[in-house]
Amino acid sequence: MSGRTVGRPGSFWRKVLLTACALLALSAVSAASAADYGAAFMQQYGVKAMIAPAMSPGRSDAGGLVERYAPVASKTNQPRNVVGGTNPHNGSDIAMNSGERVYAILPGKVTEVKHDTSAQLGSVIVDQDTDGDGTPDGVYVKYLHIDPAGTGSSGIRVGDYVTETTVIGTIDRAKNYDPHLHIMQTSRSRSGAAGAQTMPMNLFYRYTSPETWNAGSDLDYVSADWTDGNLLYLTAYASTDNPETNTYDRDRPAEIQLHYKIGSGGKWKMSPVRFSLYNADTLRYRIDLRQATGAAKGQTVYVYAAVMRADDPTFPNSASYRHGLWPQFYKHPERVLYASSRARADAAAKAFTIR
Amino acid sequence: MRKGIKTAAAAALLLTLVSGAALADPAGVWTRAGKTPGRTAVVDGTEVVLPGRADKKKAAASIDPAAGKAALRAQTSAAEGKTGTFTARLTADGLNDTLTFRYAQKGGETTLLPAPDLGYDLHPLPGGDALVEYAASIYRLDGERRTLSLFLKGQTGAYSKSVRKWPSGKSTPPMVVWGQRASVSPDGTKVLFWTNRAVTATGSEDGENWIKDLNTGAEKKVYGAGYQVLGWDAKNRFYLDLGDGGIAQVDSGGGGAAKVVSSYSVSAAAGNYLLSQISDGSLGVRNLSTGAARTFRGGGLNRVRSIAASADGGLFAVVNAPDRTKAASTLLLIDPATLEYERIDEPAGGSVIGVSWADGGTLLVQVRNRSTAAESTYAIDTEKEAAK
Repeated sequence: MSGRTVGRPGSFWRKVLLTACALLALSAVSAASAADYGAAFMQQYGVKAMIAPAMSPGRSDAGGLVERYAPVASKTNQPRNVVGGTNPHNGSDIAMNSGERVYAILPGKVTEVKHDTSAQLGSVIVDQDTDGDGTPDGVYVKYLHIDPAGTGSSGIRVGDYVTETTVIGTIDRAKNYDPHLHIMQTSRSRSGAAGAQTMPMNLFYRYTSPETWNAGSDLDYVSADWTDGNLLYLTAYASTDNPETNTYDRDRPAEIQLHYKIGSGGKWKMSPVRFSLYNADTLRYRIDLRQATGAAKGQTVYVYAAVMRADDPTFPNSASYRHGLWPQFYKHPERVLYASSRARADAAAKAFTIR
Repeated sequence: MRKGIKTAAAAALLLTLVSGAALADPAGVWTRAGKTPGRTAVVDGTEVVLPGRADKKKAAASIDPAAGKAALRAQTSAAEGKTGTFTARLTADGLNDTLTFRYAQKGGETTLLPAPDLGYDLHPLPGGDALVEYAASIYRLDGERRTLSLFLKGQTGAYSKSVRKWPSGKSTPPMVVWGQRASVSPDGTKVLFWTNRAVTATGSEDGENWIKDLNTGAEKKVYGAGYQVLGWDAKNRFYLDLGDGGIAQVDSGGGGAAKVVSSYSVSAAAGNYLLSQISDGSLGVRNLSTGAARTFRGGGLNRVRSIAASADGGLFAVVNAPDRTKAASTLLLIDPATLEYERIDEPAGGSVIGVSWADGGTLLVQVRNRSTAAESTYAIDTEKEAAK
C-alpha cells in the first residue's frame, strides 16, 4: 500500500523506481502549476525510491574513509524562525565546522559549481552514481554554503567524475550564516532550473543507527511513512541546535494534525484525532485512519498531515510559521490547504482504502 | 631500515609494472593481493572494517517499520580477532551519560576501535588510553579501567567552558565546540585539537587550532582558522589543509607557521614529505626537512582524486583520474625520495574507492565492483611485490 521499498535498492527496483520518479516529478510539476501554488520545492510521494547507502559528507580522517556524523541543526521541510529565506527549510543543515572538508556522499558527476559571495555562498551539485557502475543516475545532491574545491581549470568543475573520497569543497567561513553544510536532494542538475524541486534526504541515510542520524530521519522533518492495516505511521520531529544547553536536540512536535476527505467528492476537514507517539526513541507517531476519519471499510480516504513544531530555544512562541506538511511539502504552504483551494489539498494528499 | 626496503620495493615495482599498465592486471598484482569482502582501512594505526554498502543495506532492511528501530547496525568491526563492546560512564561537565565503546581482541591484546555509528570519534593515545570526542569536547578514556575523565581544562585564559556568550550581547548564547578533531603528535607528547571557544571574545565562529602538552597539561592556541589536519612531520610540525587558503606548516611547540602550498590542493603529508596537486598533470613533492621542492610528472598522472601516505612517509599512494570526467582511476605508488613510481590499473571491473596504509608497507585498496556494487579490499604487500 505504501509502496515502501526500503532496503531493496537492487538494479531492477532502481530502474523501475527511477522511471516512476521521473513520472512523479512530471505530475508534481503539473499539480503545482494547476494549483498556481508557490511550490518552489515539493516532496512528491513516491520519490522515496531514491534510496542509496550513501556516506556522510563529513569524514574524520585525512583519507576520507571514516565517516563523521556531525549533528543536524535543521531538517528538510522543518519550519523555522526566519525573516527571509524559505520556510519550511529547503534542505538539511549539518553542523560541520568552518574549513571542514566536504566529500561527495556517493560517486557521481559534477553538474554545477558556483563560486560566489552572495548570501548563499558557494555550492556544488553532483549527479550521484547511486549504484557505482560509473554512470550517474539522475539523482542530484546539492552541497551549499561551501567553498568549492579550487578555482579555474585546477578546481572542481562541471563534468568531473568524483568518488566518495573526493573532496568537493570546504565549509565556508562564517559570513551571513554560522558555518554549516546545507545539503539537499534536488530534481534538477542546475540551481534555479525550471521545475526544480527538493526531494527528501532521509533515504540516503536510512541505514544509520539511532545514535547517529536516526536511520536518516534526522534529515527530514517528516519521514519513513508506513501503513499497517488502517494504522499510518510517521516519524516527525525537529532537529535543532539548543544554544541554552550547547547540545543538538530532537524536539517532538506540538501536535500532528490529520486533514482528510472521504471519497474523491468528499469535503475536506481536519480530524479531531491527532497522531499519537508510538516510539519515543525513534519518535514514531501513528494514527488509526478509520478512527480518525470515521470512514467505513472499503471507502477511500484522502489525507495529508500538518506537523506543528513546538517551541524551543531557536523556535520561540513568536515564530509565525509553524508547520510542515506530509506527504508533499511546498514553499510557504498554508496549513489548511483547502481553506482557499480544494484542488490544493487534493494535490497534496495521499489516498488510502480503509480496511 | 623499512624506508630503504620500501624505496627498493617502489623501484622494483616500477620496472615490473609500468610497461604493462594497459592490461587489466599486467603483473598479477591484484591476483596476488589478499582480498577480503567489505571496506577495510587503517585508522590511527588500527586496521578496522568499516561499514560498507552491504552492511548498510542489511541494517536498513532490519528496521522494524512500526517502531523505526534497526535490529542490525552498520558498524565498524575488528579486521582480525574478536569484536567486543563495553560501557563507561561520563560524569563530568554536567553530563551523566553511559557511552558504549567497541574494541578488537586478538591474542590477549585489546585495541579500541573507531565507531562513528556510536556517535563519537575516538583517537588512541600512547599507552592504551584514548581520546573520545563527545558533547562538543574531548574526554580521556582509560582503556584498562574503562573510565572516562576530563581531558581539556575547563578554563584557559579568558575562556571558560561554563560561560557562553556573544561579545555583541545577542540574547542567545553561541554554540561552542570546546574541543574536537584531536590529533596526536608522532612523538606522543602533544595533542592538537580544534575549538571555536574564542567566539565568546571575538564573535568569530571560524575556530582555532590549539595544542595540549601531555607532559605539562598546558593548553594554548597555535594557529587560527583551519580544520583538516593532513598529518605531522618528523619535527613535530603539523600540516593544516586550509582549502583555498593552501596548506600551513605549523610548529606545534612555538606556533610558528608558514604557508607551504599557496592555494587549494589535493595533498597528503607524513614523515619527511608533503605531496600536493594544484594543477592537473603535476604533483608537488616537498621535502619537509630541507624545504626542497620538486615536481612529479609521469605514470599518466592527471587529476588526483585522493592521496594516502604511509605512516613513515616512505611511500605515497595516489588515486589518479587519467580522464577527470570518467569513473576510471589508476593507482600510482610514488617514492617521494627518488620520485620513482609504479602505476597499477584498477582491477578488472572494479573502481577504486580509497586507499590506506597498514604497517609493513601493505597498501589497503578499497574497490567496488561496477556490476554488482560489491565492495572488497585488496591488501597489496609492496615489499613482496618488489621481490617478484
